[in-house]
Amino acid sequence: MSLETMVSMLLEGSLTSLTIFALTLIGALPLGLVVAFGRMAKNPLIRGITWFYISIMRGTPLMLQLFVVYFGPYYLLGIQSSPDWRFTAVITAFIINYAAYFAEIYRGGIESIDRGQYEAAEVLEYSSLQTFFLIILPQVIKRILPSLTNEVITLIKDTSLAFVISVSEMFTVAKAIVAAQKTMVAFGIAALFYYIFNAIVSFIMGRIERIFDFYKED
Amino acid sequence: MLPDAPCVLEIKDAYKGFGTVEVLKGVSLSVHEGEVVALIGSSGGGKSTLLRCASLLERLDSGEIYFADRAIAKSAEVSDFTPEAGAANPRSSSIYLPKKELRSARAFFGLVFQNFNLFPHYTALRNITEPLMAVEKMDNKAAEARGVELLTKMGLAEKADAYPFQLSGGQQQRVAIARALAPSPKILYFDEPTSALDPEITAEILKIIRDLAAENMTMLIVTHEINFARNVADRVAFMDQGLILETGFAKELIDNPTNERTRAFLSKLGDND
Ligand SMILES: Nc1ncnc2c1ncn2[C@@H]1O[C@H](COP(=O)(O)OP(=O)(O)O)[C@@H](O)[C@H]1O
Ligand SMILES: [Mg+2]
Repeated sequence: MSLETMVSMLLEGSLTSLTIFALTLIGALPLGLVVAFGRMAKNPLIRGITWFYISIMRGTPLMLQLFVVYFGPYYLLGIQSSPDWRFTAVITAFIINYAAYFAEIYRGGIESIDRGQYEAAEVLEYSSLQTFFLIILPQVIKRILPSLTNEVITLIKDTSLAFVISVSEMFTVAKAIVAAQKTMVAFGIAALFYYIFNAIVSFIMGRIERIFDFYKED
Repeated sequence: MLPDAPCVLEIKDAYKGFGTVEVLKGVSLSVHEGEVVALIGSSGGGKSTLLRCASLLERLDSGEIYFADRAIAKSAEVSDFTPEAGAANPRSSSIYLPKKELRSARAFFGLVFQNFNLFPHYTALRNITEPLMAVEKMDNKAAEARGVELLTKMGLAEKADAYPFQLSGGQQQRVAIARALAPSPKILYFDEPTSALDPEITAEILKIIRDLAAENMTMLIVTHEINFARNVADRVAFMDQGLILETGFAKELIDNPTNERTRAFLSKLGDND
């Protein structure tokens, strides 16, 4: 196999990795906020359920969660899965896993905001929604960006876990090439791709952090 | 103050507890139009709690609140009288306006906090204009005109685009006063507006409050600045351990307190100065 073919196969795989990455963020970032609210809910039942969900997601391997989501419908419910299910299962597992991590980051950020901010908004007649989205959330985002960056970078590397249920993302492709060609070159190229992807994401997150540098907390 | 000016704020027989701690134990206070009332007393006496109840940040357990003629909270008799119920006043409880009306009732007053509570992600100007636009639905231009007008009044016109972290404590407090004034409240509350400031900056804030008093702004001010209270307030109320023990014309009360504890409080302050 020529190097060129190898690279183009890996590139194709990297598109799948990128899709997993993007869809996970699109799903987990907002879902995490909802989960964070559940975790902080007044209702003890909602709070308890959310706590349990988060502790399972963070306390068991993502790989295992991938298997459960993928095989669950068949073994638990007897539903014959469609061919599309493989990919959907990966996205589902990633979103519910990452939402749990994001939720804890959001919660930490939200709880760190001074009560005076809520009170100032309240006496100025802000509604709860306005208070949250106009006053609290922008400050929370600034505070949690470094932690979010860490998670997002972990996510890039985690996308390779999709190989366990044979979704042909970049690592799966690399593994197949290595097995067939008896050379490690594909792994090297894949590593380089991950590394570059990481650098790009770090750069973008850095820029976002810089945008939020327009003010400082005193 | 006019002798028979109508009440702007009236609090009747207010009780408030946190858990088992009774903080307000039957407080009544009224502030008339154009009047400046200073609330003094040693710390822990319940002054902030009273102001927070008047600001609707806390709810009374029992007692009434009127904003001008409008009842915000009314007392209702509790039918099954249970002395051990734990409420500060088990005989009655406060019934507040529905949530929506309560929210709009907040336009009636402005509150200036001890530690400013400016929004750090907004410039000085936007701290003033954003609430006008988000809440009062004022258009951009009108809000900005109002913001600039108030910043100019506070001597901060050139700081319009500065963020709170770029301002001194005194400047931040002036922005906070402008923000509280922006929606044209009928009464302005201050909770120790100079306590977080350096002594040399205190005068700058007190001067602004004095200017507002000269414009007949109705104000209720919690303060430890006794000289300021004596010179600027029309009336002073002395609060201790959840009760207002004495109210009177500012100079009379401060120069000749009749209550034992007021006297002790004032003489202790005198010793420290
Ligand atoms: N949210 C609260 N929870 C419990 N206790 C409180 C709370 N707020 C105030 N208190 C208590 O109420 C008492 C009066 O406090 P405060 O109104 O702040 O007095 P002041 O402003 O006169 O110093 C204090 O003993 C304080 O500990
Ligand atoms: Mg206080």
